[in-house]
Amino acid sequence: MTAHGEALRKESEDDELVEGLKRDYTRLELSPTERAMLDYAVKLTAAPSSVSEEDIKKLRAHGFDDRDILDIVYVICLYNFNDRLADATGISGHDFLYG
Amino acid sequence: MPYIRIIPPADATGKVKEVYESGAGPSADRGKVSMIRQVQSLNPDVLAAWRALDVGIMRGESRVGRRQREMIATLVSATNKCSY
Amino acid sequence: MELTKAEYAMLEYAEKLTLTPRSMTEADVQKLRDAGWSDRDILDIVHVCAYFNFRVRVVDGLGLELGNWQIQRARAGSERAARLAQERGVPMPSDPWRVRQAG
Repeated sequence: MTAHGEALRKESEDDELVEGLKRDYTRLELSPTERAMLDYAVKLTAAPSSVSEEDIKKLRAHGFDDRDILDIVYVICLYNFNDRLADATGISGHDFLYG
Repeated sequence: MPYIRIIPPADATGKVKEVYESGAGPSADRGKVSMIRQVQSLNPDVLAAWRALDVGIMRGESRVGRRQREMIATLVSATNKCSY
Repeated sequence: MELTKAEYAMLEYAEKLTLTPRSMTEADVQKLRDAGWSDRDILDIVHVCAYFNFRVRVVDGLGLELGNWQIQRARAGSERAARLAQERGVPMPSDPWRVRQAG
């Protein structure tokens, strides 16, 4: 977890946000919309087959439209790919960033 | 060093060189090629296609903001306990 | 269907990379090399595996369902495999779709 979060740090200039996401995102002060987005990301990453239409409805209830939901799913998928590529090839702890 | 052979930027030619030089990520700002790209270099076609996908997903037009996309990325990696 | 040693090593690797990515070590890559795979082959195996972890999440994340033709084709294939197993007197796994737990 060295490289991860560096793009976010640059984007947000918010060290608390970066560390919070790495440690325990549930303790961060986030808007309900962002919290819903992150809950979905954790669920789809950790237990993809447990995701149901209810989860999509929750996202819609927070104002995400279907295009937004597709974009969110792709980011989650991309990082599940990147993480496996990184772990498989042992580039862990490397100081190079994604991008 | 990575577990598998890579083509370092200094040795890159052709398609691999082209992709390395078209970096858009934070590492490109420092004139470096990220390891996550270098480690794909033995298969230049997938390297090029995946980079395009990566840029489309993370930097393309979307109502989900750049900051929000990076929040998801950080959290997914934390959830995977990825050590990168 | 007998798997070659190289194929078995490839599948073991894919299973481990899917279930416990954090536990991958250089020894896992060395096992693939010992089974005859080159570094380029290993990258391609990693790509397929990581890409299917991507695809699985598109499918589950958006609740995609199989078309009837896909279900029928899968069922027919499963029945053919069951008949073959019976002819050979070998047991069929009870649920071919369930991924074995990491252990």
